[in-house]
Amino acid sequence: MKINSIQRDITLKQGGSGFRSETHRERMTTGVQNRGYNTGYYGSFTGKSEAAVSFMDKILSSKWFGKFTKYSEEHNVATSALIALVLAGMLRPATIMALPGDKDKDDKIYASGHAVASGIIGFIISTIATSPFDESIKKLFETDENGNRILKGGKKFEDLNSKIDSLKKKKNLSEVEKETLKNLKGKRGALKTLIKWIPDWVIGVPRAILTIALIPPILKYVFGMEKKKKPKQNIQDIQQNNVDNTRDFIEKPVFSAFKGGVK
Amino acid sequence: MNLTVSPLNYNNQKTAFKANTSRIAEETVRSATSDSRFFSGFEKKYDEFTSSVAKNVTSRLLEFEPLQKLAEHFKHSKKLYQHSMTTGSVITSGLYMQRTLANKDMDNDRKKTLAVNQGLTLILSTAGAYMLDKYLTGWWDNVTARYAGILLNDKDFYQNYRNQKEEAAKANKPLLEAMKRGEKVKLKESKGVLDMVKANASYKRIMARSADDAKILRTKVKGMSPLKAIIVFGFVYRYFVPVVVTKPANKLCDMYLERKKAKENAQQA
Repeated sequence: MKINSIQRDITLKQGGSGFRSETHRERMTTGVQNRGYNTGYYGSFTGKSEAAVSFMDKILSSKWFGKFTKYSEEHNVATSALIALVLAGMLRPATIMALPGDKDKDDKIYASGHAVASGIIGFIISTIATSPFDESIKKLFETDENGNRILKGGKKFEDLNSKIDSLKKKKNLSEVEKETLKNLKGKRGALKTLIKWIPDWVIGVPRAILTIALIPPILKYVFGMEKKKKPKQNIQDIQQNNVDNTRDFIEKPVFSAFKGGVK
Repeated sequence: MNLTVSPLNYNNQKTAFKANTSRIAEETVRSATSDSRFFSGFEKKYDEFTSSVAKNVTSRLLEFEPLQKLAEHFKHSKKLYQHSMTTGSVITSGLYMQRTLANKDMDNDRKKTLAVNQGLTLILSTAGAYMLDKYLTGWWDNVTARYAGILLNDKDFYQNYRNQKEEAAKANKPLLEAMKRGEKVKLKESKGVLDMVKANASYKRIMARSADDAKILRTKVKGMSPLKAIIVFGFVYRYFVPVVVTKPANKLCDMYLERKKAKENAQQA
C-alpha cells in the first residue's frame, strides 16, 4: 500500500476557528445587535486589508474600550482612581523592581507593595464614595426615553434648563439667541463637570488619612509584608547618625506617604 | 493499490452547534438577575438611595451660589477637567504639607524645607501635566474623530474631520498675522468631533431608530475628553512624580540642609 500524502494543516490560513458562534454578518442581521452602527467593528476603517489594521484601530473598535469611554464620561472620579490603580498598582511597582539601585530587594518589594496597596485603597474608596453621587447627577441632568428629565432640581437649575429648552424649541434663532444658547449650554456643562468632582475634593483629605492608616495592615495581612525594624544602635552610632541623619528623613512615615501632588 | 489522503484542516471543522452563544449568555444573566429577589431588591434600594442623594444633596449643591458663579466663569473652558483634578491634588498635597509642618520629630528647619519641597514638586508637576495635556490635544482630537468614525461605521468621518480642521487652520493663518498687527479679527472655528457626529447622516439614522443608542454613542465620544485629562494627569501625579521627581527633589533638599548645617558649624567655630 502506498500513501501519497498525509498532511495535517493546523495553520490559521485556511479558515476561522470553528468555535466562533456567529459571523459578523449573522450578528448584524439578528436584529439584536443591529443598531445602525457597528458595535462589533473588526477594523476595516481605513479601507486597508484586515492584516494592515493598526493596533490603535483594534483598541478603538474593541467592546471594552466602548464601555470604558462610557464609564469615563459617567464616572470621572472612579475612572481617575482606576487609572491611578493601573499606574500605581502595576506600572510603578514594575519600574521600582526594574530600577537598579543600592536599595536591597526587600525594600523594593516593600515600596512596590506600598504602591499597590495605595492604588487599591484609593480605587475602592473613590468608587464607593462617588458612584451613588454620579448616579444622582445622571438623574438630574439626563432624560428618560420620552425626553423628560428623570428628576427635577432646585429653582436656579430648573430656570437654566427651561431657558435652554425654550431656545432649543425655537426655530430660526437670531445670532444673539444662538450665542445665549451656547452660553447657557456651556454653563450647564460646567455645572455638571464641577458637581462630578466635588466628592473628590470632599473625600480627598479623609481618603489620604485612611490610605496612610490602612497601608501597613494591608501590607501585613494581605501581602504578608512588614517593614523591617532597624537594629538597636549604641550611643556612638546614634551620635554618628545625628551628624548625618538628614538621610533618614526619607524613611519617616510622613515623608514616605508623600507622593508629590498625588491622591 | 494507490491510496490518496486529502489534507486535513481542523480549523475548517465547524461545530454542529450554531447557536448565538453570546446572546444566550446575556439572556441567562439578565433572567437570573431579574428573577433574583436579591438583585431586584438591591437595585430598588440603590435606586431609592440615589434619588434621595439627588434630592437632598446634589440638587442643593447645584443651587449653591459660589458653584453657580464658578460654572458661569468656566462656561467656555476646555480645561475644566484638568482644573478639577488639580484642585483635588492641591487639597491632598496641602494635607501632606500640613502633616510635615506638624511633625514633632523634625526640627523646624527641616520641616520648612520639606514643606517647600513638597509645594514646589506639586507646582512643577502640575505645570508639566498641563503642558503635556496641551501638547497631546491635537493628536487626541484626531484619535477621537477616528473613534467616532468607527462607532458611526463611517469610513470618511475621520478624513472629513481632518480636512475641515486643516481648512480652518489655513483660513486662520492670515487672520492670526493680522491679529499680531493689532487688528480685530474673528478666527474661523473648526468643528468639534461631537458637532460633526451630530451632523452626520449615520448618526441621524441611529437617532431616528433609537434615541437611547444615539445617547450611548454621544456619551462614548464625550468620554474621550475626560479620559485624556485623566490619563495625562494620572501619569504625572501617580507615576512620574513618585518615580522620577521625588527622589532627586529629596536629594536636593538633603544637600541644601547639609550645606546649611555646615555653614552654621563653620560660623560657630
